[in-house]
Amino acid sequence: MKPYWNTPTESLSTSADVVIIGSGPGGSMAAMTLAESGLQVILLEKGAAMTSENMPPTLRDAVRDWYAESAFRTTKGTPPCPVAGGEGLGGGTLVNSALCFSTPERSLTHWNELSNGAFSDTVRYYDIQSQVKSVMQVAETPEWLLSGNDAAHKRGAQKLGWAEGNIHRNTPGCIGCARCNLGCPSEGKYSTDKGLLLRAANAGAQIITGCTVTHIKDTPNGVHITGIVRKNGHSIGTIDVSCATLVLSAGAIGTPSLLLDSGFGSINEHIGTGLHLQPVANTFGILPEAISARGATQGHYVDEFVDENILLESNPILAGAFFQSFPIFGQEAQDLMKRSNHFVSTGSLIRDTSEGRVVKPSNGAAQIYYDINDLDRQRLIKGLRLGCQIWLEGAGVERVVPSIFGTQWCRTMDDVRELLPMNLEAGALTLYASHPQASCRIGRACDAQGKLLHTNNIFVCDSSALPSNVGRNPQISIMTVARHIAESLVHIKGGTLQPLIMG
Amino acid sequence: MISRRQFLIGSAGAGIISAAVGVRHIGTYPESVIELRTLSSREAHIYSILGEWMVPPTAGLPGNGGDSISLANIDRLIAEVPDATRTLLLGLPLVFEHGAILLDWGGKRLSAMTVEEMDDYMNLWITSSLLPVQQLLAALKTLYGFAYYERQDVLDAIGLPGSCSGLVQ
Repeated sequence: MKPYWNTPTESLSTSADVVIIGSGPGGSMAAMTLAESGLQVILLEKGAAMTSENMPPTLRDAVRDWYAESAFRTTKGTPPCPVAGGEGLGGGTLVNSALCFSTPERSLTHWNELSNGAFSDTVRYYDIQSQVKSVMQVAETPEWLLSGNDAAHKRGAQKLGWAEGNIHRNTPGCIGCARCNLGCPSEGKYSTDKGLLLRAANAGAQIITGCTVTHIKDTPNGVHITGIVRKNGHSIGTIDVSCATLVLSAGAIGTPSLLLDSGFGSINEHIGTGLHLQPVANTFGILPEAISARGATQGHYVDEFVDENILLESNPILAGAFFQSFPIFGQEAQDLMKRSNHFVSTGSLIRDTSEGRVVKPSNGAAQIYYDINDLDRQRLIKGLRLGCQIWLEGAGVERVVPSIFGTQWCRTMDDVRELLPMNLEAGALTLYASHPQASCRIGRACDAQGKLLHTNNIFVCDSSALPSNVGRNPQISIMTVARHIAESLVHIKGGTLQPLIMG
Repeated sequence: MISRRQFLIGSAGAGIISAAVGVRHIGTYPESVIELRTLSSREAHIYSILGEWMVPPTAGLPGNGGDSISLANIDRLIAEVPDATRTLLLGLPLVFEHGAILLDWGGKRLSAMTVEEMDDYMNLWITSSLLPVQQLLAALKTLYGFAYYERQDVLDAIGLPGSCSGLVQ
């Protein structure tokens, strides 16, 4: 890929009509929409652009260099929960599993209730979403591309008679490396750095990497942005950028963190509140037969329990995850790890009702407070039980391990129910999250067009602007909402909106 | 992404780490044979001992959890995290070094234990029903999951994808 971005080698001082901070699904859609509408756009990205020269060889390298806070970003609360986020050109789309779900109708209905009808034109919403999926080249994972884990997951679900399907993904050129989470090495994943940002650059947007924004100041005449230019982790200059309009797209953790660090908490008490994480509880199993780990990173889902706000998805097969989850140590663990080609895993994702809060960052680390409420605790236990069931009674594994502290091998569902009583305390759950959402909500912190309340020129255009959570992997929903916000902004700024799907 | 999800140093665990860091430096530790960015010789030595216990040399698998490659991986990983997290990760081995007092197992340092003593001592960690103890052990195990089981030579040995070699070439 020919570089269309710039990486400053010294201090950056410039101005633009619109500055966008962050290049994930929201920022990329905003950049493309605004630039193609004739507006002068600069996009500032904290991370670097991933190319064949700096592609991380292993997951360890990937999380260190391409994940927010080197993937150690964790909530405070019960239980503590890691919150993953991409950090590089493309944001989360760079290192996600490329899963694409439509916004469920009942989620959209809920959003409208919470936002005084900001998305009441549901026909238009789903029309935009349909176009987003087309632009992102979303398609159902074909059978031949299912990994051994996906195929066993599917077999298990079908045996149990559960509603299920192959996951839709934006991976038109996927060859089945099963390493989407490290960044796609085959250019098979259509992350936003491959598509939306390229279109933005072709329309004149300046895409600038290596820029950490540390402070924003809003005035009636525009926004002043300051920060640091970094290279290989070292500061090499300062950022001094002015714009008429600022679009914040640093994600549901980064956006409120930057706003609060810049003092906006005193004028808008809703910044950082209402955070949803969509936590996942994982189950690990061992099949009697060997399977291939190659294929889609995550290719199969079960939505039989969507009314209970539980979604099961086949998981990436990551050696370290199995090692640390199995309740064995030393030589016994080593001997079992040599059977890695028998390992399977599922993740039980819930649409959480718990709401957390992002507060002002400290020592360069995000500060996230989030406690699982009792309803979500029960859903997660139910989700873990279902994860065990799909493997034990569906796929016929030898044994499973639900991911809790003090876990044990389970060979029957009786074992599972004994290990996972419905009154299991929340602190025993070991969770993971990669879908933070709704921390600067439309209908609470922002108006229906995404404008941050009580500011002059600041818009929020990322997962934090969602009025609530999606209940599924959110990248397509984020892009749809981002397009909705960006179209409004084009109208406000007097641009000429261009179609999402190019003729 | 799931492999780091148990890196869950909760408030109780953090308190224990702070207490361990506060223990006066006792004894001497060998100089590391590799160049380290973040770990001190003491931290590196303890991480190495724990790594070899947790991920011992095994036929068919390269190296071990305490060898120079794994140790360098831990060092580099810790070097990149935010300051607050780094403090916890640097304190983590000290919890195990001085944990015999915490778990009422006498006052011996881990690095001074015999192999048999270490087996007994670590078994206390493994069988504890105390949540902070379980969290700290999970954190340590996760770190070795990263440092050892995300090595390309290890992934090749156990047959899991590391480099890009998909279904279709």
